[in-house]
Amino acid sequence: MHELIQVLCVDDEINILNVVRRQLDDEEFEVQTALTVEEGLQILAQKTPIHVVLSDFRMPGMNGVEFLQQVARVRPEAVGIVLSGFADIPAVRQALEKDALFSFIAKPWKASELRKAVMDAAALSNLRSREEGSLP
Amino acid sequence: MLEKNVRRQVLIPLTLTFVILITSFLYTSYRIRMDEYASGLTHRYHHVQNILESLIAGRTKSMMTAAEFIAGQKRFQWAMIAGDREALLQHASAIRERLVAGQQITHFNFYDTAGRNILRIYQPDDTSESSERFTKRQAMEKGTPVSGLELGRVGAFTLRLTYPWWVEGELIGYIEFGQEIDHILQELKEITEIDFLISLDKSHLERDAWEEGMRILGRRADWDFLPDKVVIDQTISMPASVAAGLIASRTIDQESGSVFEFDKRSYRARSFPLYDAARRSVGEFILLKDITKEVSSFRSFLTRVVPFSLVLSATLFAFAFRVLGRVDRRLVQVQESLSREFEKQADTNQKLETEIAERRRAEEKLIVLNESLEQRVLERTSELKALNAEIEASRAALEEAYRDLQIQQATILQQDKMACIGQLAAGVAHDINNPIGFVAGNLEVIQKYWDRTGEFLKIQSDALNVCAPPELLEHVEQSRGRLKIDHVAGEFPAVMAECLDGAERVTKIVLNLKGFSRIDEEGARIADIHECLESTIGIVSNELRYKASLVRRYGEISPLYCCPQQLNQVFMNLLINAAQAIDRWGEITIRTWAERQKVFISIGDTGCGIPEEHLSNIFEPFYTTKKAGGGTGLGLSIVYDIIKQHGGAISVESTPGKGTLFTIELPLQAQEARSA
Repeated sequence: MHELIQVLCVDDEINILNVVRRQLDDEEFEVQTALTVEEGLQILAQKTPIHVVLSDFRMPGMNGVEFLQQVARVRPEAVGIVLSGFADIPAVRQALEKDALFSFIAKPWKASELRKAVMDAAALSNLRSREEGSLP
Repeated sequence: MLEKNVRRQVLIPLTLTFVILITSFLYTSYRIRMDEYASGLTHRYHHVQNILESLIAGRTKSMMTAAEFIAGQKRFQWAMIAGDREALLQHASAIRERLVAGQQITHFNFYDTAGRNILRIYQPDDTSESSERFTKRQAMEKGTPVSGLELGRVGAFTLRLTYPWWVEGELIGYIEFGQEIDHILQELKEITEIDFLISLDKSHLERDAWEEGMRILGRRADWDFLPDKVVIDQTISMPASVAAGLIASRTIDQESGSVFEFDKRSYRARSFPLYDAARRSVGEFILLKDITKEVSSFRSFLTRVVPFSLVLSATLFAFAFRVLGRVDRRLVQVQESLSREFEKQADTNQKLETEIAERRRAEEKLIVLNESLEQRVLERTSELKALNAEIEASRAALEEAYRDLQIQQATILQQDKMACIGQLAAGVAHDINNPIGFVAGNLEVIQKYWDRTGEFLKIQSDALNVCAPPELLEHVEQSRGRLKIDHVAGEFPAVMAECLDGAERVTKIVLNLKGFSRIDEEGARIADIHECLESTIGIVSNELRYKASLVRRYGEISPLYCCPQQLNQVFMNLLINAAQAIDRWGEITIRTWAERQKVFISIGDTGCGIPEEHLSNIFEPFYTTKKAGGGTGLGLSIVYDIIKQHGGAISVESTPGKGTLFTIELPLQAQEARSA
């Protein structure tokens, strides 16, 4: 793989961020983390590409789906995955139905599950980027 | 009216009584007199007869003596035997004077042995045969002397004796004596001073002879004096008419005789039949008694007694009349007062009757009233009954509603509780899922790191083995031994597995909690019963773990349209009950199967069982056998309610001491109104 998959992970729990970083600490992935939505948005505002956005659902200030909807406006090529506690599933399901996010992963999750989901999301992100690039 | 009646009623019988008394008195007196006369007459007759008999006996005896005397005289015997009439006449004439003078023996005859006349002493010239006589015939037949009175053709009674003359055992003839009865009668009259009359039947007499005889006796002879009789002797001369009446009288031969009067004197007469020696009734001997004195004394008795009796009766009558008058007056008074009383009584009776009639009318009215009252009471009663029934029905409905309300309230409470548990579970799950998330994640990272480290260590160890000096290798080996690196390497996968297993289990618990509360779901949906069962088992596993081993016998069943949350509650209640029924250790068996478009779930335990008397009540709300505070008594009623809402049924079988089996059946066909 010539290009690293750029992953942004937003969670108010630092341990989650660390685990995700460690699980995706491979040659294909480059993981940036943010403890808050604002921090995540700042990272997205930078010119560096972000292919996949992993977001917690329940966060102070804004929930994961809302956040990902904002992300879609800022970075349409970025594909969102919700890393969710099960209590939030109906809202997540609604978001899935609106294509606001690619998939969701229930906590606790398996590393392989996470890797697969991120890889798939990255593939979709690449597809979107190519479409974008060909259009304008 | 009354007065007359009383007097008549008393006085007439009284008078009759007097009359009867006096009459009977007089009659009795008369009868007594008559009896006296009768007995007197009878007595006199007997007296006369006795005297007559003794007179006749005396005469007979003297004639007998004379006959015996003559018969004993040899001269007579000789004369008789010789048949010498002259000698006999001579001898007899010598005795004849004495016989006539002394004995009045006027007849003196001799007969031969054949009874032929030999000699009549009085008429020696008359040798004609004398008439056939009874005494002679008897004497000839018997051979003994026979005597008796005999009526002669002249109408005179003669006492005769015929004496058979026996000389030395040989009959030589008969001696006959006779004398007229007149003498005897004259003698009798002198002795008895009794008047009599002797009459003879004409049939025994010859008129000429009789008249001749009577003339000889110097008596009046009147052949035509009486039609069929002649009077031969009488002590009182009486007219023929009187004598005829007397003899013809019917009562003359009766005991009291007959009474007749002539010549201003009264006589009582009684006739007795007159028999001759042959016992023929030849006439009558009529006894006469002068009763002039007695009659006059009886008459004077009557003249004294009758007026006295009449006066006495009259006095008594008058007395009775007066007394009765007073009684009458009193009776009238009493009657009047009685009638007044009666009128009053009648008045009262009238009033009473009126009153009774009124009462009867009142009673009838009452009866009618009663009937209508009863009718009304009946109507009211039925109305009341209907009302009662309504009230009872509404009460039952109210009770039903109340019970429903209670059940609903209990259900709501239970659901609230479940919702709370769900929310709590959701919160807990979220809170737990984050740490579990990074714990599990980190464990995977550690695993990955360990793999990498091991790989590197292997490379390092291979490198060392290739180029390291032996002492260094030995040091490494020693360090490896001291640090038990091989052991660590051997143990590490197990450690990791155990940690992952723990994380996994926590994850599962949270999942179950989530699945049980279904906080993320609402209403009915298609659900897998086995999933429901499993999530419930996960929740209650702590309750079960130390009580029973759980046996699952799941059959092939298709997913069901239901409210999983509610069914979970059903399963939880049944499982917890089963665990509580087991005292120390037992078995809980869950079976599922499908049959005839139905899904069956049975939960059985090997617990203490339910006594039969409780079995019918266990689904009732608030029915509990647990200690106070031990249970709400709602668990099974909620179960029942939920199953019913699902259109299913629940049944229970239990054997005390052996265990209990609950069987739920749910219809496979989706039905509406499942949502709760």
